[in-house]
Amino acid sequence: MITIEPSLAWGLRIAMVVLIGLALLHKLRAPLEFRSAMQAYLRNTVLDKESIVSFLSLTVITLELAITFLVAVAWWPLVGAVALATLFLIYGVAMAANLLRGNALLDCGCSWGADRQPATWHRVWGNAGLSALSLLLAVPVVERPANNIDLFVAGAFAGFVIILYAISNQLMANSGRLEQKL
Amino acid sequence: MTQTLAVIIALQWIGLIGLGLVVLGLARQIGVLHNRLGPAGALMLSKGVKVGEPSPKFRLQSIEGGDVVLGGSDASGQSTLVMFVAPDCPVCASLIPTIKSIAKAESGRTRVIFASDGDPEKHRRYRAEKDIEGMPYVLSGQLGMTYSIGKLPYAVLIDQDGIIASQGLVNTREHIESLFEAHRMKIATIQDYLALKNDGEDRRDNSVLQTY
Repeated sequence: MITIEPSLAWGLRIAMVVLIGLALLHKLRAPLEFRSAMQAYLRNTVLDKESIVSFLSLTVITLELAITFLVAVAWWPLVGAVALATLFLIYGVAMAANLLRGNALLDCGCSWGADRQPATWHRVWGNAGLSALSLLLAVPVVERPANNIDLFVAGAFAGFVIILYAISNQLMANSGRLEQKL
Repeated sequence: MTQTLAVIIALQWIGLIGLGLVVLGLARQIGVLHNRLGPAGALMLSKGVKVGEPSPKFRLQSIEGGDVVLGGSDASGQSTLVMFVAPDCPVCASLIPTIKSIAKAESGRTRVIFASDGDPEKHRRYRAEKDIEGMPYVLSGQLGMTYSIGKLPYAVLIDQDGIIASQGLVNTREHIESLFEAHRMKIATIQDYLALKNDGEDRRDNSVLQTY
């Protein structure tokens, strides 16, 4: 049976809660901006109606809130991990669907840690990676007494994952500018 | 021994996080530099219809009710400047007075059409607020998708024969004027101009090398 070191499991859990929590906070602080991003995703589809956009915006916020709570408390690790992985997958699929139908999104709504940036295939793969990483939260933790080093490593690992995410996000934003050839 | 190991682990993590922060800082600086070194002219981003290609023909309903034909040769011999804007785009709002002034200056030679998509009522309010009721304003998601509009404000200049003359992301008066300039110089974009210039310099450099 596959197991994971407690410090890594805690670190990953803290990092995911911080990342999804900050994304949620951003949506709550700028609800109109989030609504515009949602409307852009649904442009020229049967769902492009004021009432549906409002409903879906509220649904996504509620879902993120519930999933952040589930992952943070870790009462049902499998449910939390699968829900988080599914959420990242849904975002990725939504971006991919818009890229395939030629709907160039001004703002992918995923610019935490960097500037506003359009949806790209890099972002779709990034979401697939986050989804896979989220599933690690369902892996059972090695049962042994935790010590101070474990706590320190968990905190440091969480910080490192968050910094890596911010770096990759910034590099993806830069890559969009590089493709403009100037 | 355990204490030494703990100190080493702690130092390595601190070093790793410090290194991560430095890389993040560098990546951010690259982003800022890209913004500051942006082009002086309109930047063509469109992956849709290319400069030099015939513009697709659209018969659209203007927000005030009449028909607006976009694309194809213009019977009155005028060029068409299609300005893609949105009410929630702050740069578009700051550019409206410039567009009005350019429309006045180019009157008789170029007609200006505003294009967007979304809630008509919102656009009617925006149009009244910005005092652009004298200019055609069309709402069409299909139009934006045809030209692959990814950033706003975006402008497309269609010549009197219905050929895309120039297009690009326009943030300032200079950017819009560069579209007319690009059309006059028969160069699609500022990027093409710079590429031609660089090619010229490369050739000159090579000829210098060959001399020695």
